[in-house]
Amino acid sequence: MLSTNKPILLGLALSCIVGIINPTVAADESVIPTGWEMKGSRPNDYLVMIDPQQKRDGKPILIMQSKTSPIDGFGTVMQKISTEKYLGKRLRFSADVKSENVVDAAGIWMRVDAGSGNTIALDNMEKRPIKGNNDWKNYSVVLDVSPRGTQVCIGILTHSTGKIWVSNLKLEEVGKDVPVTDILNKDENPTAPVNLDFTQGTNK
Amino acid sequence: MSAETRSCFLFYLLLFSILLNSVTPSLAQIDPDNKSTRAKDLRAEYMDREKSILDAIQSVLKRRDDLERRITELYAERNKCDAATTKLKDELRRVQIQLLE
Repeated sequence: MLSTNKPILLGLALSCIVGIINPTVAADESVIPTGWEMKGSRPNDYLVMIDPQQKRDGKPILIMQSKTSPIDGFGTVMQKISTEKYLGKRLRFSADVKSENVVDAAGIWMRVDAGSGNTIALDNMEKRPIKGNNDWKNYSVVLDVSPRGTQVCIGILTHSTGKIWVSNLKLEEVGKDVPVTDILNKDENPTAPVNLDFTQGTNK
Repeated sequence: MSAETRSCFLFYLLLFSILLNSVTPSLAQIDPDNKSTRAKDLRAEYMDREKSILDAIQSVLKRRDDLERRITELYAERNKCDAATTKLKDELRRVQIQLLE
């Protein structure tokens, strides 16, 4: 009996040894925190997990890192919430982010939709991307939730390759004195007339 | 001067005249004017060469200037393309975020 089971036992023993020697086999799978989803144009090219070794201010840290190189696309960890509590309010989504070797761009983002596929406010930090190596820093995006809004989406993203650590995420209501960072409804006109006396030079 | 000496002197004078007359045509054959003509020809040839080299230099310099201008134009064109690419990439990212459901 024992002799017939020898190859099976040997196989099991080898599997255990391989598992011990090469723990990355299991570590290659993303572990997404509850309430969050992994999305993007290349979600499978990124590894997402809670940092098993360190915390920030006693809170867990989410790691998002590229698994392959190059990556022509992006990955994001996101969630959607109803606007019910936030209609007509100004929201700030913020997080502490640290980066390592981010080649293209990383950041946080927020979107307000009025019905499916109808984005009415957005900031993906495209004008102030996190690149290269950076120590912990707090980043935020601020949007108005229009009374027409039906859902707010928030997320963390990485374009191309690199690694980011994210912690201390907050979604909070802020006063109208905090400027919005909306890139879709940016009012590029000055708030007051300029150069009315023609003394401030010319355009060329 | 004795008559013998005089006749001897006249003889040598006559002989010198004959020799001088015979030598003069051969000197003329060397012709310093002929030398001068060849030098003029050479000078003209060098001047032609100089002109053609100067023309060639002008032509190369003009080509260089044209290329410099073209390079400047191409750099400007490339910068426009870079700006357009950045703008399109930003737009793509916006759209990609908007597509997330």
